[in-house]
Amino acid sequence: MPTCGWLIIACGSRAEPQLVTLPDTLDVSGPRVECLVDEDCETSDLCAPLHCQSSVCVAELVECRDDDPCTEDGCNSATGRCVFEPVTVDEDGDGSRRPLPGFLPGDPAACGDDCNDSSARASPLGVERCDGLDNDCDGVVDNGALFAPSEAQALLLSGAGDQGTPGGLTFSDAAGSYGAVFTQRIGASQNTFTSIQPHQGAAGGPIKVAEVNSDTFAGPVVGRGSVFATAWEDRRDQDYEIYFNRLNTRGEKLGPDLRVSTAPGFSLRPTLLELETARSQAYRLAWEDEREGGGGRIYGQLIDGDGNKVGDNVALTPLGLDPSSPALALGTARIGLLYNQAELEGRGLGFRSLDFDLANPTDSVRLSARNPDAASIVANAGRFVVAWHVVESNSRPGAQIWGSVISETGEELVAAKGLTEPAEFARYHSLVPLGDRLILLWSEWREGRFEIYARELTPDLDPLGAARLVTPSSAEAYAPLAAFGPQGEIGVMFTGRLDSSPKPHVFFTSLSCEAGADLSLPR
Amino acid sequence: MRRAGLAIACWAVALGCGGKAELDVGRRGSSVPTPPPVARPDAGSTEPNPRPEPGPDRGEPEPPPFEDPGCPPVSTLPDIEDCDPLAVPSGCPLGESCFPFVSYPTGPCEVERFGTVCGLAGTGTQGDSCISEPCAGDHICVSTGRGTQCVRLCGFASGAPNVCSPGLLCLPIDIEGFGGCL
Repeated sequence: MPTCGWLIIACGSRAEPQLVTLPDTLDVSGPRVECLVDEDCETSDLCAPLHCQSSVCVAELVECRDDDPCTEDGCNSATGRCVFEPVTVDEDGDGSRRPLPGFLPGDPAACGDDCNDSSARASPLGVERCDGLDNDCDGVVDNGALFAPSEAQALLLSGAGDQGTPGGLTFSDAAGSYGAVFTQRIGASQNTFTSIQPHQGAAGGPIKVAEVNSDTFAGPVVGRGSVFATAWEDRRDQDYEIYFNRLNTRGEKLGPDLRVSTAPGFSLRPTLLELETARSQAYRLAWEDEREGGGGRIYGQLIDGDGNKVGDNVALTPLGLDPSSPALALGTARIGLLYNQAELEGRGLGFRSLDFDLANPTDSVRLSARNPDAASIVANAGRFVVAWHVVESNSRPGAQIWGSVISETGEELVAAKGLTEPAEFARYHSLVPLGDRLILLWSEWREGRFEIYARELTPDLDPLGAARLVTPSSAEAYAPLAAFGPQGEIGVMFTGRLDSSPKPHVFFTSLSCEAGADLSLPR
Repeated sequence: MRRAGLAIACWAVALGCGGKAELDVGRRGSSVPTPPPVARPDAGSTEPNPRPEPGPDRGEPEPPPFEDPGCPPVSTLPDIEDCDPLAVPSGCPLGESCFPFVSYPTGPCEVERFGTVCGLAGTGTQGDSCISEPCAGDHICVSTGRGTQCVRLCGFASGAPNVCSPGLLCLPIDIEGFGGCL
């Protein structure tokens, strides 16, 4: 067996390795002759070629280093040439790489400046258009745009069922269609997917997501490319458990249903995030879970881009808070977790943030929210915006939608304030973050029924303009759920009632973009 | 508002109905017999999924869909109707109230069984926690997203009276045919 010393070869450039040092060989077996010329030393690894030195085969290790933190340095053993692979990818092919997780696009250590690597229509070299994207990566979506309610009749999504309730809504830039999940009752409660073609007033044939006979209840759906992901409550296991799957844009499943929770007690109300890792996608899921009794906890799960669990369920909140209704939001450097929790008198809101692996939580923070319900959280301009409605002592909703702004580590930046004018009742809302402002949609009780309104807010939650009625033609409408669509459109899924029927159904309408002074009309 | 749909739709999971016994019925299943599993559908594989091909927005083929074997269709089980929670009188003996319940399936291809049963009522009314005190008649204990609370029962039958106070909505719970004022 040859005794090999090491010969270090470093690369002065990316293409041409160079010899730099020749350390002594180590021979512990006494004088011997292994080789006379280099050809006597055979190896297939050209990154450690052998040379004959003093009758001994000595490996010359090729060292590849370009001192660029945005590349992974390596050597191709077949060619012996250095390879410097970027640590981030350009998934959408627009010439800009995504930043490393936790870095703002364009930061010196981010290794990428694409603010949206899911769409080739967004990059630092892009031109802002009215399309629901931050085309020029200035941190603002559709700069200056106004949003007008659609004049078209709202689209009934759950018409195949006896009744329906909404789950989640997203839009695929790849397919040019919305993906909506909702529960409709056809013999049993069925988690159902449908695609919605914008401006065509038609929805694709609904697809039952979970092929079981027991009840399943729709949850959130995420993803704007060619793959959607959704999580739901499922009773196939004698108990409520959380399930997950990925769908193509037609709603066909891409793998077997993934059972996420396996524990005694109910597992309910999943909330789901999609995030970009350096080179692929990943998912973060949280839900309320009774497995430990005592009011339960919020649990979470890492899921990779292929839809596989990574590790086990992890507890995200301490015991004793009776937490419920978790909501996740993806910040710049942290994930925000919001939940409804028990307090000495009534209920309140708890918050903590976690790293992208749902680890290293901050302390739990109690937000200044009195008896909140249906709280949500979104990331906007490096901060989290939280909104909710109040439940009064008579169990009825309060008069306004409320909100506050917190930092990614839980400091209150804007104290709780009313986001809407006082009405008889106001409840259920949806927030759409645009960077330099937000759009709030909510339902408000006027003339004996709920209707949905929209208004814009500054990043500090001050009103920008008057409220606009979104659902003028519905018999009753509440619980809006909004998502960016094409050409600046904002899709709105909501619950409503048909004429005098007491049964709720799921509908879809939209707000269209009205280009502002500093914005081009969509192509 | 990621969770609005659920909070509102409130599959306001039925946790029980007034009496302690009914609470157990709602939360953990009941003694109502259910048929054995017919077949096991895709019930949550632990096998890793294959790496998908990049999608059409990357100019490459879309991932192939997965063929879910599904479940053979089964007949719904007849409801067990001892009484009518929304009627006056409900049909229960004096001193008892009528509560709906759901018995969960014992296998992935089975179905729930719904029903109504007479039982002793508690005192919990709209918005009261039902952890320590069972719900009163006309109310049901549900997971509302703000803990488990008693809410007023309501129905979706055509012509059913709106029993919910202004500002509250009759939203579906996970017992067929019934809702809760939320």
